[in-house]
Amino acid sequence: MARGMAYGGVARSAHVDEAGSVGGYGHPAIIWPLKWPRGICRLGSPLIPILIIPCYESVLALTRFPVCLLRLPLLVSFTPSFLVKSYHSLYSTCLPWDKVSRFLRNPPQREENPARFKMSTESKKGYASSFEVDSHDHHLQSKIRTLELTDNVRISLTLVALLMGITVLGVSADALAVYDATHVPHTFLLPLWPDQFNLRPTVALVVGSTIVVLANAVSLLFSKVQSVSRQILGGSREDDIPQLANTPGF
Amino acid sequence: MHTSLAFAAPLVGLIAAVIAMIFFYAVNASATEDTLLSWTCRWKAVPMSQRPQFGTLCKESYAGLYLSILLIPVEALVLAVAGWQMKVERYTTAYASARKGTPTGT
Repeated sequence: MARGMAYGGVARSAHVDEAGSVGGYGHPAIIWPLKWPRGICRLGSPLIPILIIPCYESVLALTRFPVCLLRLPLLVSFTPSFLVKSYHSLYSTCLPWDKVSRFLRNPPQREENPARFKMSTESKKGYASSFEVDSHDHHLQSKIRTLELTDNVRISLTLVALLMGITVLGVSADALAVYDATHVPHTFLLPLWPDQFNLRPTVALVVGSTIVVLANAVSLLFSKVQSVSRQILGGSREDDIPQLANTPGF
Repeated sequence: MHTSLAFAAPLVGLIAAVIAMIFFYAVNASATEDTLLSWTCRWKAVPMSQRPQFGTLCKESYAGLYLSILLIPVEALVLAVAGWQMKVERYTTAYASARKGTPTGT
């Protein structure tokens, strides 16, 4: 419903607000200023889409961002009072307003609701589940966060090294292949390559980069497999632990 | 096993990259024999419309060489990060098991 309204929304936006709420979406223009200083909103509503939408959008939904950008010139030309209304209908398809408003009304509280926090970390990454997070243990949590960060840094660096290794391999192997295709025995009248020729440095580059590519690929593959298996294992273990804890013997 | 692999893979890569670079320079230093790099770069100004285009091959050889040199610090960085991760992981495991052993305040 909201999606269909997106392009014809300029003319129909007034009807939307008279009718009341729109299909489960909250009112962003009312919700957002709760988080932001009210001065920003009053200063100029044109600032809101320009300031908030691009940064929020690009993080949240990269694919829909160009569509929102296309609508931006339309928005800026409106009068501010009208803008707040049309703002909603125009951007309602770009942002998951129901989720945003639910999040703002009922933010996840980490300290008072440990089960929720545990679930969120577990689904995100395997480390938390492998160490049975106690949400009150800040030291352990910070260590786990450090571990996750280090793991991500290591994996991305390994990916960079893998790409570099592939490039080296391709470049030196191509040079070797060209030599192989164009070199002729020295009985020919016009040889392109000298008789005394040392190919070993290029071969060394090919061999070395092959080893680098293999090692990095294995490392990447295993870190991927490991994180998946850890998530599965962690999930089953999380199921077991409450049962054990609930039995009277424990 | 995971952490040791994460540590061993960049080590192998680092050693391979270092050996390739050392070998390249050790052989390339020789003045009597031509290598692919020296030969192609000597004739790179010759215009060629067909396959051994020496200018392209010279650039290719240099690109491969410099990338493999750049690979060394990257692999060393991966190694350092993996070592750090191994250390933190070992500590965290010990800490978590110690915490699990002691009765909690609740």
